Amino acid sequence: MKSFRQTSAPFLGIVLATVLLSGCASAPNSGVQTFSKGVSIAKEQTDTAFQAVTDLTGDSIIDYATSQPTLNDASFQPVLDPQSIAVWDNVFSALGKYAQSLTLLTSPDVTTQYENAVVNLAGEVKQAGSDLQNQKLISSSPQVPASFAAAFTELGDLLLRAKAEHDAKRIISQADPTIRSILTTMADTIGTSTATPGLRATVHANWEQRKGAEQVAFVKAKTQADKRPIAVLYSTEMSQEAAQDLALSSLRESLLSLADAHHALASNKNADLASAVASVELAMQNTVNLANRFQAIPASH
Amino acid sequence: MNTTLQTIQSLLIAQHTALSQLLGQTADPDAAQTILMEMQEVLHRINLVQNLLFKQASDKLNDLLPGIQKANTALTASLGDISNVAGFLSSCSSFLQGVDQAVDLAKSLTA
Repeated sequence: MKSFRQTSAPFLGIVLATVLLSGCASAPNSGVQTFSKGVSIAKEQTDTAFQAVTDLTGDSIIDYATSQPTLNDASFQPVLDPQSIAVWDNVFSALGKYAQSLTLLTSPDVTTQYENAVVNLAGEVKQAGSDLQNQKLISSSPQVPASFAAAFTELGDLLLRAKAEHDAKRIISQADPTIRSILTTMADTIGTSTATPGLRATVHANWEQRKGAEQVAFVKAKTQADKRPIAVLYSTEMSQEAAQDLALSSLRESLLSLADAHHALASNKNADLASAVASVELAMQNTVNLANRFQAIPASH
Repeated sequence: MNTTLQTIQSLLIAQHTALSQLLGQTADPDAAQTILMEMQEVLHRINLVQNLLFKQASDKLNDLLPGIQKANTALTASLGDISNVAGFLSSCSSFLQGVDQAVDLAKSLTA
């Protein structure tokens, strides 16, 4: 009769080859980690951007209410209502949990718990066998060569890893249309330019209104000395407007890059993933830099 | 998003931009003030329409939310499968620990 090793070796070879080949088509953990980090930063920057929009438009709403003959709730409609902002928070929270679970499932450490359990079990088998032999309950303690136990554990490890990677890839592919739709809806809300519908255009109009007040004050001013501080304020507002628009534009790029990165993970295109990940990292850095600049701007004049 | 609202928003933005450009060329203080007040009326409507557009986008996001939650549930289940294998092996270890204790007890009784 052939030994277990002789009969099982070809089978194990085929299984290992299948596992290793399927492993090559897995979602890279580094790309998943970047996606996860991108989601966290996009949420943070969205919070900052929405607060800045609320601060800016809040001033315009007060100015409008002040210009009306009567005071009522209708004059105080916020541009970004709290209920809708809460929906964005919920979506970012769900995306964050999804990205974290994906990171865990594609982690190189996903099978550590299994490996530890196998090693502990082997130790217990050895101990129990030894005890039973000492008590003369069995004639010889079961012996499993360490190299075979390690190879068997490794096979189990690979099979579990392959299952994890297969599951991750399947779930990423299934979720991809939804994630793209979410991220593009968010990007569309921010808008492609200051001239087309979206938050960027609304923010631009609010800045134009604020600068308009300086323009009126300027033509009313009698002397050059009176005009100078108005011109300085106008110039400052121009810079603030540019910074806020760049922050919004960069956030939009981050969201679209995140959509591309997720799609590259789903498509298993490493070249596209590398490019998308680089775009996400660049857009994230730009957004952080611009957000820092924007946070230095006072909310109102 | 609602294309009618987007069209209205486009028209309002174009109107506001045109008034802003006119204001930049007006040296008469009274005329400038009038233009600014007109801009404010247009801006109020821009803000109102933006509010509606934002609500619509958020409603769409809310409709998409279950898709992400479902994906996360599937990922959690897959992680649970791996944890279950390790858990099963740990149970075997616990069982063998019980055997060890039973053998130790038998040893002490026969001594």
